[in-house]
Amino acid sequence: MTKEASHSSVRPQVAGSLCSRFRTTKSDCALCEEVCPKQAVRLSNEGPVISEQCVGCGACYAICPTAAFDLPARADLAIIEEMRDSDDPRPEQPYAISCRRADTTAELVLPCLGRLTEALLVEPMGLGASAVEIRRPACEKCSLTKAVTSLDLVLQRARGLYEMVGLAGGQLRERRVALRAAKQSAPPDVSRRGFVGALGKGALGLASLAIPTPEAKQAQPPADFRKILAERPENRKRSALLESLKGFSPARTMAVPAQNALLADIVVSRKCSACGTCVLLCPTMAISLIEREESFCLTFRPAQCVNCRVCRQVCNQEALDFKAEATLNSLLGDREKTLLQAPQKTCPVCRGRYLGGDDMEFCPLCLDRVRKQQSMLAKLG
Amino acid sequence: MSERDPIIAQEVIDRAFRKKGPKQYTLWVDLEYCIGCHACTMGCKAENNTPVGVDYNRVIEVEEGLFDNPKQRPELQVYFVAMPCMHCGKPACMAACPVGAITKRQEDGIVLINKDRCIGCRYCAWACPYGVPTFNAEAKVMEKCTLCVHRVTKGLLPACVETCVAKTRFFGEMNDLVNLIREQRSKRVFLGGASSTVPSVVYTK
Repeated sequence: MTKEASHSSVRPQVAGSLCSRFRTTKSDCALCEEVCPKQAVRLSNEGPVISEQCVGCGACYAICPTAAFDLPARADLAIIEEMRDSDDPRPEQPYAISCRRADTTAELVLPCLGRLTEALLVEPMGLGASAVEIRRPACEKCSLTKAVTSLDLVLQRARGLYEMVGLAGGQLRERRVALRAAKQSAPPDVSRRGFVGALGKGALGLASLAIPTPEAKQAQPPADFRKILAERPENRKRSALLESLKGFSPARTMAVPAQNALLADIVVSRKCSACGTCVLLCPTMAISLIEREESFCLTFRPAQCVNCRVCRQVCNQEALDFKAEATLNSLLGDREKTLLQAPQKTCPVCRGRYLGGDDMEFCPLCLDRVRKQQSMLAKLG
Repeated sequence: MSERDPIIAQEVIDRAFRKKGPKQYTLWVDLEYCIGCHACTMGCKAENNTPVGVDYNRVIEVEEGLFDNPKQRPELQVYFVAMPCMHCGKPACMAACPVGAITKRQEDGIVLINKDRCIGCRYCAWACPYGVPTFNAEAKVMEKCTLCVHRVTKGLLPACVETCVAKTRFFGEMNDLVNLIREQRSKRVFLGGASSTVPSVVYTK
């Protein structure tokens, strides 16, 4: 039986370069900050920073669309492996999920229900469970109550996935259970010897900080920002979701409103200026660029899209837009579709690349510059 | 026209360099005396070592009037407008940059592009109402006039001011220059009317 492991005190690891806030200053995403029950996550332009107050509830991991947080001990993929290796879920039996302050006899006990992700709700059904039951205590009385603000959204998204693969939405149900008292951890006994020992260690640490090390003398070379942007590790949260959906086949076409959806459907119009910013800033490599001498081709992998909206926030030409509805079926099978294919030329003035046929001799930016300067100087005086 | 005396005293420049706290360094371009020799463009290119196609400072030739009746005197005039970066008070380029590579320095009001952070998307060039930022196709980054920040911080004048043959470009603190213009009763002109980006470069005609 999958029981509460000793991972709960482990803080999430942060991959700041995957955070939308790091990738673009245009992003106003603050989901992790909003959901953290202990105000332990602080956002900066370099991504999130987790402070000492963290209790390891995992809510930030569950909410972050771009997987900037990772739980080294027990991420989604690890739990899915656990489920597959153990006897649970038993076929034709309901699979219970709860938190450590509610029903600890449930098949899956999480540090907090705010840690739940869609993958953990889909996987038991793939393994033959008859239903998934969330044993939910009176979260509003728990000190971590802020962490579960996103739970309803996760359940709603999971119900959408259930319907897509032909399961009834009612097979994901909630049951109210009692909230147990929080375990009070006794203050540790401090002996005099222990105290002096700890003091000595602390002083040593301070002293060693004061001594300059040879490495500290060398100025750190500035990391290449563009290289950091281009290096995007696999989105392990999305991989877990795709893994949990592997055994299913689509029962119906499931279109959900794009707002708050698991993925988005993108369209790109001919207003595109071929700047490639969406490709570079996309945290999941859902948009990619196939550039040849004469042609420009934008492709899109909907299964990798996490609906973070970075691409639309940055698109200067407003060429990229989101469809009002997203089709969840794209999550079954990682297909690629072409967003835009157009002939590409090099501007003889600025030597920048632009989209245009034979009728356009110069790039629209250079033409725009001339137009701007003409209208500006006409009004001089 | 005989060579005119410098109309800006060394004292004004010294005062700009000495001034403490937030200020706005800028240029004053007197269009009346500009002869369109492009020496500022070349001085800038030499100083900043910019590649072909990248100019921090451009001089635009403007023709005015019509010459449609050959029996009459042509009503034509030509003047030249030097276009460095305006180092705006509210830079449109800074607002448009998706990665925060453009900053306006508090201490001297100079708008700079951080080339280590720039991703070469050219949004700043689209946003700039003066068309100032230019694309460096080799380095794949945007570049623009830095008001010779490397010289100014050492107490030297920007290269374009030093090379100006007709002595028509001046460097100083913005408020000092505006006061000086008012004292001299020169006619201040604005490019494209008053711009929402609050440009700092001052033009007179």
